[in-house]
Amino acid sequence: MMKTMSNKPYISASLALATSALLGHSAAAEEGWQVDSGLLIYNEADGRVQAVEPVIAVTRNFEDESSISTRLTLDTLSGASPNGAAVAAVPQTFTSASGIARLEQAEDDDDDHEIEEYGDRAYYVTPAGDTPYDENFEDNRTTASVSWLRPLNNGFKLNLGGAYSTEGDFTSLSVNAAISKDLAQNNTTLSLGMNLEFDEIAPDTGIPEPMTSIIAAESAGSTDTKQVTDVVFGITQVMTRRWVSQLNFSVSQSTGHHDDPYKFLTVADQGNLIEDPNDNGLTGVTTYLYLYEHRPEERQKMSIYWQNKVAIYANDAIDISYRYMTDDWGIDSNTLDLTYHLNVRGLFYLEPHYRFYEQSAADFYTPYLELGTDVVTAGTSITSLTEFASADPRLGAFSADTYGLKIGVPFMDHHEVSLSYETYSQTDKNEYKSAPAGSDLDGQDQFAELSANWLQLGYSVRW
Amino acid sequence: MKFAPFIIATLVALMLSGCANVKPWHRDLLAKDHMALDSDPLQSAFNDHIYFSKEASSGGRGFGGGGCGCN
Repeated sequence: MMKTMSNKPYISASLALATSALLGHSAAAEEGWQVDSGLLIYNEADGRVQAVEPVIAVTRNFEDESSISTRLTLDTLSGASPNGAAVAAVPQTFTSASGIARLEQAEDDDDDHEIEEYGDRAYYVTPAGDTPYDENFEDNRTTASVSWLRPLNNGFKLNLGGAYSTEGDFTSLSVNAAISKDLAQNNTTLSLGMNLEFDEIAPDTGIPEPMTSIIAAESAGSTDTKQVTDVVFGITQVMTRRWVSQLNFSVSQSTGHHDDPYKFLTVADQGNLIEDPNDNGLTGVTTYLYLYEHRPEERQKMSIYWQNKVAIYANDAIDISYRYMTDDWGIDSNTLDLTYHLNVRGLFYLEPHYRFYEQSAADFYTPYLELGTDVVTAGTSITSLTEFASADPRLGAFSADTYGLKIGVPFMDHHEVSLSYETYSQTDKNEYKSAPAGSDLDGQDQFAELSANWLQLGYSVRW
Repeated sequence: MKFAPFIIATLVALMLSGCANVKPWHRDLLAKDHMALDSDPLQSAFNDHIYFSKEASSGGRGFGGGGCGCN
């Protein structure tokens, strides 16, 4: 499933690759092989997502300073994800479309074990006062990417790459090209890169018709697509003997299906949940009214990224970066990242890390919809008066702090092992909607803050 | 973001004018592995993926990508 740990071909570093050679880093300059491997163990609080993710990358550096890199990543995910419904003072019953699909498949296969496993997950109940989670979430993802770097004449370098990612309900293919030019005795590098991405989404139960009831939604097709174009222009500058700086300017255009097919919104009347007029009594309890979310089919993003790396003493360094991002959905974000590299007697190194992040909410983010102003009903007919709406916490306003520590131990010349631990926690910054005193939504949380921690193991070798 | 062009122009000017001409034989410190702008690409990829999955922003260092429809 795509809903929680979404998909991203690991292409983000390819532009940096184009500039690493100018500084003469041994990894980029020496002929030979390099193998990097890692394991991510990711864990969210409150029984939300757990993930295990091994990765291996193999790079062959050639004498002419060209190189080919490949990377393979596997992901195993399971856990719970907020479904978008509001926390309420009454228990809520949800039909889980994916649970029903899996149950039907198990019945078709006559698999008793899976029938038992999924039988009680076709619908699920969230107790009063709890954040509604869809706990029926597990998936495996595979991503493969390749990158080719080649020096051209006159200080130009060309970097070509591609990535393919697939999982149960999502497939992504991307190709990218970047060209860089070294200037001023390699003190300056200009780079320009473009990435084209083609995505296809195919949920178990089809694409739900947006802004319609989750128990009566018609399918809007079995698959849908999205295309993303990214352009990055970068300047890397050696400022002094101890200071190197990089400034990137990025624009991104995304067109197509942006809805999360597993997320929906509560419809409330004066702060009280209302019964879905399409409730067919399937679950034996009251089913309240929830509508599938809907997002614009276009999104433009722009970001500025400024990174500075400063050598301290002979073997230490400070890495500080800042990113500003803005998009036409109304989201602005600031990201500050700070790492200190501390070499301890040449035996190992420590890297304490801090990251601050904050974002504003999308214009169409709302914790729930209101009957009368956002939605009207007549009999079993439900009409949304608002074109776009989402209660996905990722589109809400919040800040987040990450604290981390990494230890790395180089040994036997060209080997290194590393271990890092990071802890992440979000803080709600949304303006709350006020619900009438004594109503189902009165005094309830309207944003599910996320806390997570993760452990990364790494091993690299060059020869 | 009406100040964006001004901020970008200032940073570009700062970077291109503030540079001393550091000779190749003076790059001993900058050439160390830990001084690479992305000294651990696998770790960066892990972190980028996590933040991409939980936040509405992506990219900056490199391409942002689109990922799934949920972000």
